[in-house]
Amino acid sequence: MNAGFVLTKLLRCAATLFLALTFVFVVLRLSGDPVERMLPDDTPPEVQERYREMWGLDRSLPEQFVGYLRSVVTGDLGFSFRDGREATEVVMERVPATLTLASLALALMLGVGIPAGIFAALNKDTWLDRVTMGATVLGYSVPNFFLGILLIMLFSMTLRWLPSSGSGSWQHLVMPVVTYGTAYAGTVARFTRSSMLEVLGQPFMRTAWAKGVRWRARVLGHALPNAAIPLVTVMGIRIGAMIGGATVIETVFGYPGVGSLLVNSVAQRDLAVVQVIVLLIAFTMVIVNLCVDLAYTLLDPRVAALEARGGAK
Amino acid sequence: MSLSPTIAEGAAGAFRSNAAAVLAVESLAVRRGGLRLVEEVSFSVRPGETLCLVGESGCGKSLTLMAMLGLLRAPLAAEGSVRLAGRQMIGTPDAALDEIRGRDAAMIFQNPMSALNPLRTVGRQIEEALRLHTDLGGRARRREVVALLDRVGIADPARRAHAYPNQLSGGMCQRVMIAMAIASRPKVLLADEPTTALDVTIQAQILDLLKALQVETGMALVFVTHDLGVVAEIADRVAVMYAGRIVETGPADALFGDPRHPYTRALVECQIGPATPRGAMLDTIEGSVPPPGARPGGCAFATRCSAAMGICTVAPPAVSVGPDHVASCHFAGAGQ
Repeated sequence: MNAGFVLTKLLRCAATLFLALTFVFVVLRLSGDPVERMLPDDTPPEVQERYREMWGLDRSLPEQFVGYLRSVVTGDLGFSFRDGREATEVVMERVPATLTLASLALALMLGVGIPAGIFAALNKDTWLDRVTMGATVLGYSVPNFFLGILLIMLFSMTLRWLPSSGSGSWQHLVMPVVTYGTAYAGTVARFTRSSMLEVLGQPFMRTAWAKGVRWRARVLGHALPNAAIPLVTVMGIRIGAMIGGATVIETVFGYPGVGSLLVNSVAQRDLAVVQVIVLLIAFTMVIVNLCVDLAYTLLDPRVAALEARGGAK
Repeated sequence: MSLSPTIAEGAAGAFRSNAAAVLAVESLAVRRGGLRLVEEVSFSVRPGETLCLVGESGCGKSLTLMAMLGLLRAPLAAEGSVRLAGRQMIGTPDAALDEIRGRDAAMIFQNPMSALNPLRTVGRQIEEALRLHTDLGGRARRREVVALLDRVGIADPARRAHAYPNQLSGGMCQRVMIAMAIASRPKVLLADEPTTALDVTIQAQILDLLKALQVETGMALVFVTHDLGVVAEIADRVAVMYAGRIVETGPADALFGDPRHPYTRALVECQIGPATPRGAMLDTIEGSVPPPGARPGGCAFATRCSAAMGICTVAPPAVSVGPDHVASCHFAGAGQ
């Protein structure tokens, strides 16, 4: 991996982040005067004025923008309207819960999706393939909230095995993780299947066969790494989105993660918190994308060759 | 490659004369469901000998080759007998064939660039063959990889071992494929149009390399091609295939000097030689190969044969027309 390539990627990341920051700044101001939106209608004008000064909204837009950029860099992103604590603090205390949920769901999604996809590809056009693929359609076509509610009805209300909402124990995690994981395991399985089928038909797979490489080693050693390359993109985007929080699932299960915080903050017009979450999601996506790009060059020598020729695109 | 051609041919000849067949194919058939794509293919190859399977696209020559190593996937299935280094290949479970594939018989392919795994260095791919089929330890294997790359004529082999296939030319990739194939000193090398995708100059180099390696190791070579120029260059014996069957087989010089099957004759006449006058209309064979399932009863070539008669609807006998020279035509014995 050459330094120029990494530098180009980093610069591009910085540019993307700047655009995202600008976008957040503009959108939050397009939605109207935050003071009027957040304060009760009967707030005296002088109190409104005080808030405007406090939040710097009385200054010119360029001034506000510079101030905003400075506050992003220093991490000083204002205060939550609801409890007066720093917005970043409010968001950050939710991050561990979301990361726990996301990483378990991710493990489930990959742990089920990839083997299912490989299994279906190896049994292409047999009933095993059809049953597996049928299950994946069910997995991704049943909406999250619907599956979540079904699970709550069965396991919480009828069987009384699992708590329907909250967090704090492993029992609280079971249903959100299952709901979240199965939703995307289907997509992962389908991608894995088509990617595997593509690779299994390649001439180099026949070479390995003719060379005396055993079936298992052909599938795991030769086919899977090749099939993994397109999967990395799909996974990367999904992982990025997962770190940003699962709004629907966290809301259905009353799970205290970033997603449910976002929903509540939007409902209560807690703009500082919303802004932090939007920035967090933007940062995560940009960083995950960078990781995907770098992973490509490690996984695929053809990409590495392209960039060595200065063809980084 | 230091051996002169005459010594080379003499040595190969010595191998041939006093050895039993290392590969014996009998009544080989390849089916797809009820369709018989290849039928009644029989031939044998002795150590040091080169047999060329010749024919148009779709005549079943590549299928025949794949069937010999057990490389057919359902719905394709092989029947008959293929004895390779004394072991029966047809009907043996696929997993058991992994012992034979790459060890007793290796294969090289038409498009060398896509025949190599793009994510592995060529050295690692050659090393895999050594790991599977030899007892060499890690360090010895890596030394052997470099020696093999050197042997197949790759300059700077120690560095090139770390190259990925996309960093090498087509000709170099084919050399890598050959290095991988000969890594375990196979008794038989099966080559599926290995020079078709290469430039003509590279073609000649690859053919020379194969010939030299054959002399060194005494391996038998089964070479599938549609290029009669290549056949003339490399073949000891030739089997001409048409519509899934061998229609004529014999020593290369006898078969080209005195082709007895009308299809072989037509193939030979289609060639452009130095003597072909400029601007002359080239000979072609009218029509096309009948697809499996639509093959006429009797001689499959009858529909395109200028000498066809009523009797050609009856399956032609295999007529012996010379030493080791057989043609499947009612009129093969009659000469011209």
